[in-house]
Amino acid sequence: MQEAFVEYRFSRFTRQPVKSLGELRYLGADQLVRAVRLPRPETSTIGQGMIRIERPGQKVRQVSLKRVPELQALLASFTGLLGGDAARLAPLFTLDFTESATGFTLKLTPRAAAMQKRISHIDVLGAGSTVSCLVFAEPDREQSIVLLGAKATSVAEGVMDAPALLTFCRLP
Amino acid sequence: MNFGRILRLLILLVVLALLGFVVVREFTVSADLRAFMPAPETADEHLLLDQIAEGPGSRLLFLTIDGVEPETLAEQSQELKQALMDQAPVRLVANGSESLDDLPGSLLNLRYLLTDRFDTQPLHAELLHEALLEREGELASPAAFLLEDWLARDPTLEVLHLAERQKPSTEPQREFDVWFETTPARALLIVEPIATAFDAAANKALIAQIQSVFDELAKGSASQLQINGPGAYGVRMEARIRNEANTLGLIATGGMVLLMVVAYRRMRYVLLGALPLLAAGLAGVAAVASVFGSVHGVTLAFGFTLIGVAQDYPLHLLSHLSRHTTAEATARSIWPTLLTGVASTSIAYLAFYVSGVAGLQQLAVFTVTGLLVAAVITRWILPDWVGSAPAQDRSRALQATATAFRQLATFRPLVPVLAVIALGWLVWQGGPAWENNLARLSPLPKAWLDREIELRRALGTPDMRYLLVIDAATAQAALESLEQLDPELQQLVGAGVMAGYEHAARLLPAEVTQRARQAKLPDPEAAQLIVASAVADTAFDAEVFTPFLDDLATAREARPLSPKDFAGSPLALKLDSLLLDGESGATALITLSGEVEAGRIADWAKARPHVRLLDLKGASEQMVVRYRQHVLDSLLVAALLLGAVIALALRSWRRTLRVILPMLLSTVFVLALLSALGIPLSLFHLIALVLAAGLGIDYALFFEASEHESADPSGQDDPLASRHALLVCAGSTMMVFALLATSSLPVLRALGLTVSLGVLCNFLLALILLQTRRSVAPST
Repeated sequence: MQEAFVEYRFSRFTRQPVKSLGELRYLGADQLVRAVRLPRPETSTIGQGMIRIERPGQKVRQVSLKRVPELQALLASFTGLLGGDAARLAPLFTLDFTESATGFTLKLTPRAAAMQKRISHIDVLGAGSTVSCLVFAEPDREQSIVLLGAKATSVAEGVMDAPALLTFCRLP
Repeated sequence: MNFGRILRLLILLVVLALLGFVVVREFTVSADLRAFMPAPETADEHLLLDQIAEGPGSRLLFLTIDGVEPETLAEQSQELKQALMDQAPVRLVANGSESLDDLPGSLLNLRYLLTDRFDTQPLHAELLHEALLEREGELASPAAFLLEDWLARDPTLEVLHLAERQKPSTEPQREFDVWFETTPARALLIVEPIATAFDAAANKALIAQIQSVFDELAKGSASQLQINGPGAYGVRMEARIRNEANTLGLIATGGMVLLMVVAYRRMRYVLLGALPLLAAGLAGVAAVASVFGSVHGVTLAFGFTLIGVAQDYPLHLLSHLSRHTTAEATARSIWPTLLTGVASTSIAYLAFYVSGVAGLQQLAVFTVTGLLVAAVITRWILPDWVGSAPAQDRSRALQATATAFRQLATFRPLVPVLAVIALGWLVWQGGPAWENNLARLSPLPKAWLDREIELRRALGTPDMRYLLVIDAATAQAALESLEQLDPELQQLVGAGVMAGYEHAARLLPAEVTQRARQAKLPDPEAAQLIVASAVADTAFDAEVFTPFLDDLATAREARPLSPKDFAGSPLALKLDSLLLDGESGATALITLSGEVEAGRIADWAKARPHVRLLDLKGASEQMVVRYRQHVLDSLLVAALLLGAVIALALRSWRRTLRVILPMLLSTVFVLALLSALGIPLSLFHLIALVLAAGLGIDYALFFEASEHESADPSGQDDPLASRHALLVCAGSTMMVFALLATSSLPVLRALGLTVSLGVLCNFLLALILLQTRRSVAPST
């Protein structure tokens, strides 16, 4: 299973979000590959308690997922969502499901303190059976907005602010 | 009479109590192996011994955790590291997870004086711009969090560059962020204790602490911790020696009691026989403690073995007891022979005293004091308490044995033949084989050392054999030379001569270099312009980089860093071990790592007048050779003295020769046997040979005395009594040392094998050479 993505990372260091795009591949068995094409190629394989980061021309880096709780959250939410297995989310997050005319919002709030330090909550936006966006809200009011699938391929080049991106996610 | 013996015993008890008091007050056990190494003479030898005790590699402990799946191992490695850094007396704990945060804060500010990156081309807008583009890409990566704490302060990531430079050139594999050894998976950690490897008490406490911290955090998991490294071996050795000594000691004591009961049929004798030995041990320890201030662990272990000779003294008395005379008269009659034995053995140990090696001097004081005390107690205290002689029912079995022994005299013609073969063998072999490797003097099992070498290789810690040494007038001059040599060293690494190297200037540049770097740093206005133009087409906000500008300004104005500024940081230890600043000048060391091609490095060093290659193994071997020559010379002098003392006591050259001959031949036989078994001789074998020779002299003296007496019709001596005494003595000694020969510890095995062979040879040769045809008629 694979999907295109565009990630906008809003950082306290930058005037505008840093944008990266590529593909997410869910390999099952708790393995997720995040292959970035732009701005510079980088492949991260998340799974088995570890993340391997490969960049062309550089040594492979391995980092324990314990040090990157947001990725653990990402992996868990993906496994839960893509595997259609809400039961797997429950031990890690408190779930809050709301539905409106334009679609649903599943708010995942981490239970573990370690994860809370980096991730305040994850909003999963979608409609029907499709997930269109993930929003990773961080405690220092930084955030990442990830557009998936059709949303990722159709988003306009110049859209760079968070409200505009979220509105775009809500469009049918 | 009754009053007199109680008074004497009281005096003894008071003296023993006083000695006990001295021992308790003065008794500290040291484990500094340098006490058993020769005194250093050259500068290189001083360096060598310092390196062995305190060098960068010698105090390291290597920890491995295994037994469960890697992820848990990694987690435990992290927790252990954290706990040890927080609580334990350590200078450094490393497990591969070290990140930028580990650099001390005071050095962080001044990183622009330490980094070599702007040496060829000063910091300018274009360079910063490129760095910022890199950082932008990294912000979008999952590893961005590693960057975020540093970005504002250090956009070019100098801290990372410096950290990379200080990493060992070869590193073990990393899994879950920590060092791992694959197949089977083991997490690796390095601990650098504050204490040196020879500070046994501190190491023991630290190792117990590490173990208890680990046990706590690994509760409920099946993982296991192993601790390697010189500091750990002392502790492990101690436990192992104690275990073995307990087991062997228990068996030996049981055997001794059995032997005494069979030989004398009186329980009281078992206790009386132990009294001189106990008093000797106590007096020996007290003497060493008051002369030297502390007692070396090895002295203690060996000393108690060596004064085992004293166990023979009461046996002689007990065996010679007779119904025809009082115990006091018996003691008086054996005293000259006993005293000659004590004197000759003491002379042999005096040879160790003049060797100039502290550990051997302690051993000499311990043994000589112990033997004298044991002899005095046997002469003046024991006779009061032994009571009347037992019924002499030993005659039948003993008679048979004595007759059988008598047959041994027929082997006498064989002795010269065997002696010629043994000597011939030794000459053909070019003398006995000597162990020159200082490492082998270490009483550690080889498997431990091999494992340590494996771990050192894996972790890229400095090579323990080769060092490059630079002498300079001052520390700054040494740092400057190191900087000049650095490009050549890099070429040597490139050429595969070694895998890596480390020296002080890589941690702390010379002051001139630091000033040159300061001069190239932009002033605050220029720096602001650089940042403004560098952020132009990036996503970054110029405001963000104020901390960066602050650090640049600080570095520009600061006083250059000196070794003092490193104090209290983990780098201080490394710096101190690499740059030795003394009163007469400074010495800088360059440590090498990986497989080192010594020949090519030696050639390189030869062409540079102020650099020399120090081969620690070679230097240590030279030292061992010189040291052994010294001990051997002393032993030769001792042998001559010993002959003189015996001649003085016996007043006959012929009898002196008869006494010494079995001992000399035995020594030759044992040397030939060890050589034939392929066992190279170490210092411990020499000690054992001296012990065996001392025992042999005792046997020969008593034998000779009994033969001499019985040749004289007016003599009262019972030749059977002498044989009885010698049988019990040789039997008990053989038993104890044969037990030691089964030990798993190389030192104890060497001692046990050598002494039991020596005792056997001495005893047999005394029987073969000293018995005359007529002397075995029973006296009753």
